[in-house]
Amino acid sequence: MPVAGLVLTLADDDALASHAITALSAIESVTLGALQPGRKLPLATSVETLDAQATLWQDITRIPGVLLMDLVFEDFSDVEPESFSSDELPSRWRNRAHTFNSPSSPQEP
Amino acid sequence: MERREALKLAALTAATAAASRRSLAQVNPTQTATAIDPSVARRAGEDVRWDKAPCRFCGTGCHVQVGVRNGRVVAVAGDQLAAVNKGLLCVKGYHVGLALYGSDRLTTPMLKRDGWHVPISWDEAIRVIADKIQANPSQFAIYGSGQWTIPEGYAANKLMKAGLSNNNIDPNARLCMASAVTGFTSTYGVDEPASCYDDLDAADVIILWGNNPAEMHPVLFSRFIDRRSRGERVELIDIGTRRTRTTQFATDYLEFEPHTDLAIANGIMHLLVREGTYDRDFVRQFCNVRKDTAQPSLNGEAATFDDLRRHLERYTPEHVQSLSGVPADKIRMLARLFGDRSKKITSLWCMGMNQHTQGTAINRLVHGVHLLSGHWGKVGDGPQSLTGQPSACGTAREVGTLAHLLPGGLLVANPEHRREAEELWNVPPGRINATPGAHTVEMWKRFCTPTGQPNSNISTIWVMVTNPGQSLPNLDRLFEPSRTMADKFLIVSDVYPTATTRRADLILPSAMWVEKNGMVGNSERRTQQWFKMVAPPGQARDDAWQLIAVARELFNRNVPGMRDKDGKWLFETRRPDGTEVPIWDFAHYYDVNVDERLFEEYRRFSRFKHKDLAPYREYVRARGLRWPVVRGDDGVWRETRYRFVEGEDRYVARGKRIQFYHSVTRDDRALLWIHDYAPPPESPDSEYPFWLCTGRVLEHWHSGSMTMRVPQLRRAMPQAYVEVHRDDATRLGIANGDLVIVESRRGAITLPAWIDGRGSPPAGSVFVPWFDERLLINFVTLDAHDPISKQPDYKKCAVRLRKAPPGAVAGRTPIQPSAPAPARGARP
Repeated sequence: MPVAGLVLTLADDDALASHAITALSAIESVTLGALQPGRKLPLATSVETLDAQATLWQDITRIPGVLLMDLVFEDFSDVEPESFSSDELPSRWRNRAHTFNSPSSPQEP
Repeated sequence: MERREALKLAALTAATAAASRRSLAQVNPTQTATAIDPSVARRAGEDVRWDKAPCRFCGTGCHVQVGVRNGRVVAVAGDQLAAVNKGLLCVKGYHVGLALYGSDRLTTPMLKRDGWHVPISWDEAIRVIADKIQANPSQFAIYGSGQWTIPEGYAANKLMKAGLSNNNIDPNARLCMASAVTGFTSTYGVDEPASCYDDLDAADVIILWGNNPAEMHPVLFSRFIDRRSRGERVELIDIGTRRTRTTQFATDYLEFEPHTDLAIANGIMHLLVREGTYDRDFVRQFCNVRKDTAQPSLNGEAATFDDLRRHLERYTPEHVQSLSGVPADKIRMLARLFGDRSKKITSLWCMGMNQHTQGTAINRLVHGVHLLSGHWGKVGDGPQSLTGQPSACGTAREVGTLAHLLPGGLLVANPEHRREAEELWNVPPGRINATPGAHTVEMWKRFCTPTGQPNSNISTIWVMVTNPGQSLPNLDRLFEPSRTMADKFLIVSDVYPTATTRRADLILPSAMWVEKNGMVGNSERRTQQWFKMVAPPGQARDDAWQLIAVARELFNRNVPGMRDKDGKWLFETRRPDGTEVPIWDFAHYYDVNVDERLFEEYRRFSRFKHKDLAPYREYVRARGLRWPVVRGDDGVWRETRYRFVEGEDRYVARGKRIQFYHSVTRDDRALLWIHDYAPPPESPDSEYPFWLCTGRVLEHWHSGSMTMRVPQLRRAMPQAYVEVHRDDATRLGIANGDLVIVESRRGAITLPAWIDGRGSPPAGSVFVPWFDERLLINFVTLDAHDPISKQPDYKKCAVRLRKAPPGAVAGRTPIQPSAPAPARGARP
C-alpha cells in the first residue's frame, strides 16, 4: 500500500487553481494540506496498489490548473516486487493485440 | 491502519515542509535544517534507518534520503539539505528504491556454452577474463559508462592505462556529451562548465537549445519555473525541432529545421556585430578569434575579429530564416536579448547540441554567443551544459575514462602528461601508451570486423554499467555482426538482463546504487558520496571489485603491467599496521573502504587542471562539493561556484576580473570560434522524406533497464511509439495506435503511432524514444559522428513511414529497398 507526499504547483489563474483544488478534494485517496504561497499545494496519496498509484498520479497531472507535480516522500515498505514477462502487452495498446518480434531477428510484416 | 495513517501524516508533513520552502524561495538549506524532518522519520517508523545518497539516474545530482529496514530499502524522501533539489525529486527519483527490486536481477555469473548461459563461479569468471586478456592484451577493450562511480572508473582506467598499456577504454558518455567536452576544451582550454545551477535561480532569460528539461531534468526545470509562481519574471525561450512538455511553459518557441542551430547562432552573432551591440570590452580583454584548420582539431588556428566579421556577413536574419525556418524577426529578438547587458541570460543544452555531426562547432558557437555579448561569468549569465548520466562528468570526464584521456584532464598523447601520470602511479617511464585508444564507434566497428581484415584488432570487450546492444547507433553495423563471430568475446557486467547481456558470452552480476559504496560527479562539477546501505542480491558484486579481482588474477600470473616500479601490485592495499588487505577476495573487500583508497589516490591528479578535490571525508559530510575545492588558510575546504571569475575562483589572480587560466592560446583568453553551418550527412529526400529524431521520455531513464522494472514507471509509459504529425498521419491513413513501419536505409522497425501525443513533431518529422528494448530504434539510426568529438548524431536521419499491413507485429522489420516512397509535400 504505497503512501506518497507530493507538491503541486497550481496555475496563476484563480479560477483554474480553485477548480484544481475542488477536483482534488473530491478524490478519496488524496489528503490535501494547506495551500502555500506561490500556489504550492502539498498533498498525500494513499492507495492499495502501485497500479492505482500510477493511475492516480497521472489523473492528478491532467486536472486543469495543475501545472507541475513534484514528489517529496514515498513509502513502499509493504509493496512486493512485481515481475514482468518480456512479452507482456502494454495496457495502452492491449486492445490492438500487438505482439513483439525478437529485436535481433526481423520478421516479415 | 494506524501505521498507514502515520505514514500519510508523514507524507503530508514532508510535502508541506517542501512546499513552504519553495514558497519562501529557500535556495540553500538553513543551518538548522535536517536532512529529513524528524517527525517524518518518526512516523515512517523508528526502525527505519535513513542515510543520504545521490539519485541513481540522471546527471542533475539530486540527493535522496534512503530509508532502510531489515536490509531492504523501504522508503525514499527528498533530502532537505541538498542544494541541488532542496527536498524534491522527480518521478524517476522517487522510484529509485524500487529499481533495486525487479524480480529478474542478475545474481550469478553466467558463461555461454553451446548457445546457453550457464551459471559458473566467480573464480571461473575471473579466470575466463584473465585468459582473454592474457591471450591478447592489446586486443582487449573496456566499454564503460557515465554511470560508473568515480572509484570504479578510476580502477578501470588504472588497470588499462597503467597496467596493460592499453588505451582502448571509452565510456558510453561518448554518446551523450563528448561534443560538450570538445566545446569546453577548445573554448576555454579545459573541460566542464564554468557556471552552475545557481544560474537557474537568477537568470532573467533561459534559452533552451534543443533541450527538454521538463522531461529530462525535471527538478532543474521546476527550479526555474517555480520562480514564476513567486511573481518573478523568467523568460523561457525554447529553440527546438519539436514541441515538448517544456514548450508548454515557454515564452517563445522557435522551431528550426534539424541541424540548423549553427545558422541560428551565427545569425545572432551577425546582428551583434553588425549593430555594434556586442560587448567590445569583454571581447578585447578576454577573447581571441579562432578558426578550424582543414583537418578539424581542438586547437584550430588563429584568426582575427575582422575574419569573424567577414564570416558573419552572410548570416543575415533573412538568410538564417531560409536555412532554419526560424522567422527573421525571432533571430532579431534573440540578438536584442543578447545585446542587452541588463538582462541575465542562461543557455542550457544537452543531447540536442551534442548528438550532432557538427556537435563541437555548435557547442563552440553557443559559448561564442555568450562571450561575444559579454553574457558570461555573472550569476545567471552564462552557458551551462547538462549531462544525462549521474557521473558523466565525475567519471568519464574528470577521471578520464575516455580513450584519449588520463585522470584529471591529462592527455595520453602529451609526453609531459604521461610522465606526470606515470609518476603518480609509480609505474616505469613508457608504461602509458602514447596513442589514444579507439573511441566508442571505432571500438565497436573493430569488434564487428572479422579477424584478419583491416581494423579488426579488438577481440574482447568488457562492458560495464551500460547497454550498447540497445544504445549504439546503427546496431546492424556496430553491434550485431560481432555476435555471429566465434572469436569476438563479449563480457557484460550489469544488474538486469538487457539487450546486451542476452547476446553476451560472459555475464557478471553487479551490485547497484546503495548496494555498494560510491561517488559520482554531476553537471555542475559537484562530487557526491554515499555508503553501502543494503546487500546486493545473490552473488552480485561491486564493479570495482570485479576489476580489482581481474587485476589480481593477472598479477598472480605475473603479467608485468600489474606491478609498479617497486614490484608491488597496482591495487595493493594495506592496513595502518602494514598488513595487506586481500581486497581481491570479496569476503574482505569491505574490510577497508576501497572507494576511499581509490579516491584519495585519484584526487592527486585533480590539481593539474585546477579541478581540485577535497579529501574523501569532506564528501561524507556534504551533499556534494563543486570543484575546485580549495582549503583555505582557516583549514576549511571551500567549493567554487564560478570558475575563472575573480572573487569566486581562488585561482584567478587579483585584479584580473576574469581569467581563463587554461587558455588554449596561453594568454588567459577564451576562444571565439568561426564556424559555418554545413548540411547534415543525411537529409530527407524523395525516397526517405521524414526526419527521425530519437530521445528519452520522462518516465524512463536511458535504455529502460532499471525504470522498466519499476511498475509505476512501466505502466505510465509501457512501450515505445512513433510520434507523427496529424497531417502526415491523415495523408498516410494512420490512426492513433496503428502499427507503422519506420524505415531508414539501415533498418526498419514497426511500432504504434501516437498522434497529438506528449510531444508534437512538425509535419515531415517523427520522434521515437529509445527506452524500449523490444522496439530498438537504433537499428534505424545513423552512426555518422562529429569529426572532433566522435559523438554520433541520434537526432536526425532520413526515414520513410508506411502503415503496417494487417497482421503485422511490433518489432524489428526487414527493410524494403524498392518500396515506393509515400507521397507528401515537397521539402526544402
